[in-house]
Amino acid sequence: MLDDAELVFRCLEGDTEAYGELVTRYQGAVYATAFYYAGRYGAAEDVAQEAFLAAFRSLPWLKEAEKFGPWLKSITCRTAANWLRRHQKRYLKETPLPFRRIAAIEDGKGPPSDIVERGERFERVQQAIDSLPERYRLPVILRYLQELSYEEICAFTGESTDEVRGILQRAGRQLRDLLADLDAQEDDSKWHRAHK
Amino acid sequence: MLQAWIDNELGNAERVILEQHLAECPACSVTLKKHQKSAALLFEVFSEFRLKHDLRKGVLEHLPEMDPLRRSVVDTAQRTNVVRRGWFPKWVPLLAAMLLVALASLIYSQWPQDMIVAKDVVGVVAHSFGQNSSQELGRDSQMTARVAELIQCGERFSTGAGARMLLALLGPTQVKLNENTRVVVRGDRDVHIEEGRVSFDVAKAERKFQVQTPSAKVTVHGTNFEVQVDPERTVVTVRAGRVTVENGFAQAELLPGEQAACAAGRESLNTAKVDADSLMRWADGLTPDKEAVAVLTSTLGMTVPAELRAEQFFVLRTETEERDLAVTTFYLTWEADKDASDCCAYDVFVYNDKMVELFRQRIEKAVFVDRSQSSVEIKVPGNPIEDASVLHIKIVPDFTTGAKETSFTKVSALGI
Repeated sequence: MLDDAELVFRCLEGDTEAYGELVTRYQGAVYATAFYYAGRYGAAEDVAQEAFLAAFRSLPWLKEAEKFGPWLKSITCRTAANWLRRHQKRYLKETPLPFRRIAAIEDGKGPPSDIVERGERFERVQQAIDSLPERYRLPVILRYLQELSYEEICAFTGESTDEVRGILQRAGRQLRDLLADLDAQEDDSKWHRAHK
Repeated sequence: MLQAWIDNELGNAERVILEQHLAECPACSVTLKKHQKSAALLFEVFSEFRLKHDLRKGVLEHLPEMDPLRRSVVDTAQRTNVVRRGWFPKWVPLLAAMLLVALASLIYSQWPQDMIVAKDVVGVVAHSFGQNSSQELGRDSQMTARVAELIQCGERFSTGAGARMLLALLGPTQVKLNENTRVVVRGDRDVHIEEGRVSFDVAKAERKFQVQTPSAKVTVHGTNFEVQVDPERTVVTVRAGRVTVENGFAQAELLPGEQAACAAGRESLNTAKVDADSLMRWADGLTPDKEAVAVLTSTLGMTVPAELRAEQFFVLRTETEERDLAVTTFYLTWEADKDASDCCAYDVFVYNDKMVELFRQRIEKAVFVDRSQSSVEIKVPGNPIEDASVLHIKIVPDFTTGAKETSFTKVSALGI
């Protein structure tokens, strides 16, 4: 498998398929980051796509091809922040809360009471994550939303494996205490381990 | 470690150790269960928001809409870490640098000359009387200081015996040098006095004005004061405003009419009440020459508040009730001064009622210096003045001969 730097060089030589490979590699991370910023407004996919296009446009200015991941992360954050600023006025008037429920209703799964409960649980989880130290939040989202492996998280955030492991361990402990009274609806077998 | 185990991120050895421990330790097993539960909850809650579509297709579809990437000249065999922005030819940075240099030299050559001059010029020699010299920074040779000469930062000025000099600095600030004085103008608000006696008329400004002497430092913002420096000590006299004097040990704030003396190497700073007006009178006669003022306004773009002095005018009626008298002689009377050595000479102009000049006469300095005398007689040259009902007599001091004015008390005429 080609490494990121090699793919970046190929992109610069006009090989768009190489960029497609980078998108496949990083879409989970970029989407999760976009979700972290703009998920409340259901705009995560749009923002992620926008971020990939912005990154492609500024690719000639990437200084160290090996660090494509962290560079892409910063572009994603910037794109998301810009998106929020652009749409802030429109969304300020709407309270973002009901989105979860609407999304769930659209899915049409389960009885209404169940839907309401799911919305509330999501709020609790969201609040718990917001109470974590800032540098824990993105790794947590990357891990639980997209089930990224530690290696994939490192490649995107630029932290070392040990750092990521420490962050997730400490964040996991805090979240466990914060969410101790909430039960998963289905049994434990539903979650799956990340494939290595 | 539990989290890593749940996330299936432990190495084989670590996993075996942990699993062994879990089998033996019920407490850790309980913790693990809780941990697993919350992880399951998180995965479950997030699961419905997981990315559902592959973004690759959407992104690639949009790529052709954008500007095609410029071909890079990355040498993949050599693979440096840095992606070169290779889309412009190599000579472009060189050309840009050359263009910049060319542009800079063009601008420099076209720059208005007097603006370059004005860069470190801080004033102009506004009046000079006697043996005075100037010495530019970094030069050994001294030159005669001439009126309307520009003053550059770092320039040193010296006055000879009996000489006077007036330096007009930006601000406008006036620096008046008494005889045997040496100063260095370090900036428009920074003057060093090496020795001698200097009077300052400082323009009010936010920036402080600083006078440095071998034994003291004087700081003001805008005022009228005098500094006298001899090898042993510095004496500061204030006529207006507020002046701070420091000598490294002590500091004193002087108000109008106060004087401070500080000796080199001595801690004390003595202050006293003095008659500042009479002490500083020597400086009053010094006013900027017209030539120098013109230079200041044209080159330095500064407006100088040149002192406009009213001339002494006397009006003399020659008519009595019966007829007009013919005038043959004038008499000027003044108050004799105790210290008249520095008196100036006067020019006397006589005009008729239509302000046509009839004649003029000079009264030499010696007349005033002689203390036994307090009046002078001026004879009308030629025929007596007959056909004027009113005569105007103007008395103009000539400060090039002395700094001190004489106060005239009476002008009279002898009529026939």
